[in-house]
Amino acid sequence: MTDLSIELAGMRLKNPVLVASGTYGYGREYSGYYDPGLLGGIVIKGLSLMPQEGNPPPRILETPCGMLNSIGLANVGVQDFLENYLPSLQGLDTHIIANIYGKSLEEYVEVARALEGQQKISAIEVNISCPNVKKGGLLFGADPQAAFEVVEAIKRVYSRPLIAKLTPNVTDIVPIAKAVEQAGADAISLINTLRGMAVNIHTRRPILGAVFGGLSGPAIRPVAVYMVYCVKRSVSIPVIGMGGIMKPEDALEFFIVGASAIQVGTANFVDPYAPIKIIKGIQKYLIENNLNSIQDLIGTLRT
Amino acid sequence: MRLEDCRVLSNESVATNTYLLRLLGKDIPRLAKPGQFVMLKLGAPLDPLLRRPFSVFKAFEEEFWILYKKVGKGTSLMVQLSTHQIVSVMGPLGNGFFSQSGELHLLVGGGIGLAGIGLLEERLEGEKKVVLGFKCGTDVPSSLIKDHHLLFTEDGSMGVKGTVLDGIEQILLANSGKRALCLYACGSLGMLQAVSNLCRSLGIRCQVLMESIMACGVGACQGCVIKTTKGYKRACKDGPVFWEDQLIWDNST
Repeated sequence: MTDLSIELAGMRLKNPVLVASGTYGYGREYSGYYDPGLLGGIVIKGLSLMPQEGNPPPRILETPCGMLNSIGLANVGVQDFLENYLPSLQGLDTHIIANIYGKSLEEYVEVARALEGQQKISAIEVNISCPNVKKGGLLFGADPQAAFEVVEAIKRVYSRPLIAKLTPNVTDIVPIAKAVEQAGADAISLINTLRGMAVNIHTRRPILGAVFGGLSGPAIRPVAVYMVYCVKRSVSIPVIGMGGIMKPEDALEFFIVGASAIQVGTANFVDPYAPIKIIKGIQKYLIENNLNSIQDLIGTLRT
Repeated sequence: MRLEDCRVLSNESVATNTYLLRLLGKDIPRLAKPGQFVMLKLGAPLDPLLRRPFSVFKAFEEEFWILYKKVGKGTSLMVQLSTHQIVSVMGPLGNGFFSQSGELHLLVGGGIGLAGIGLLEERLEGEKKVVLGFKCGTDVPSSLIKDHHLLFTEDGSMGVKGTVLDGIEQILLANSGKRALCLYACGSLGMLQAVSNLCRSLGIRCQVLMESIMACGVGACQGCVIKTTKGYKRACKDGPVFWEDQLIWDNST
């Protein structure tokens, strides 16, 4: 029997396949297709202190083998989530991870504080891809010092595992990864979307309502694999890889370069069963390659 | 909601750049309600990447029809579908039209908007009138037009010269407030806004089926939002049918 389970920052996951924040709503949107309890974990849509309307439409645009989105972190707010969405997840036999963000360090801390003590939430994933208002709009995740400060501050108020989700929109992701590790992050997830833009040549206007957006989908996968490879070599905490994973083979690349788990994002839109197919495909690969567990595959890149 | 591999029964041109795709389904045709939509995966697995949303135009026991216009990459691939080919279909999705009590149901379709009201016409009980408007005669899918449909073309090359607004006014005039009216509309943004303005000036309630670019189709990604008086609402999950008086028509987009 192949063992797909992993130990991730103190959590026992039945399999290493999670669904990415922003692509799986509040955890129940795909329940009509399969039991979300089959997943290794569910990362909830990014939560902020107050509800957010998000950006003006159009918010999405398909690009070659990918898509641009400028949703603008629209969400119901952390309190509404706890009161009206979390109860429906109680019965699910999987880890619920709350993704959080803030426009200031204080906001991040407040959202984390609201989640402290919530039994059904196994961990938080901190999206540090937001502009830091105080630092002139620079992304928290683009500055090692700011990234360190936000993770350290959240760690003081939140006792369960903290996963720092990194942005690829930096010159070098390694110093950021090292900074969040030093600040006490229990794991790192990467990559968030790559900044992108598209223009309507007839009207000469940006196609997205918010002018620019984030690129996701298979188009970005090689960038993601490379960044996971770079980060894994530089930190000792576990890394969760994501970026354009559509099928089992894509996921396997991430494990081989050192990811302990992966997240499926855009693929959910194309095939609601994608995460389930990926779990099965990973199992099949392990059997075919005489590997007893996923652990035996992680970080086995031959160079 | 289901994910089914559906066999193409036929895929034929019915007007300029307009096609009728007949598909064989398992549960989807049985489950589909007026105003709901399905999402089709077209072409190679990765490009185009996303599924495309289409109204269920007609649905029978095991068969359902999609009436579509060739406008871009996805629909161009769709035109190439041939009989016996298999298409992955997700659905039915979204809320259908709201049930509304009234004495006279008025269904309004502008251009390809006919696709959104076809199933409603079949399922709706009581007295109903169907008003259809097209730019010109070559846009009219004649094989799908019935004798009792009130047909308008902007250039007068088929039916009566005019727009759906003329049709609505004509019916309102004949009715002259005698019976309670229910309006249902699907079409271009410009047409829907014009119908909306007319309804507002006359105090008639109207349901509109909105079109939007979508990614997930199940309410997860928040990509397809429509501006309403209650904030942004997801076309896929909160819609695609909305009460006209809750929509905020934004001319900038």
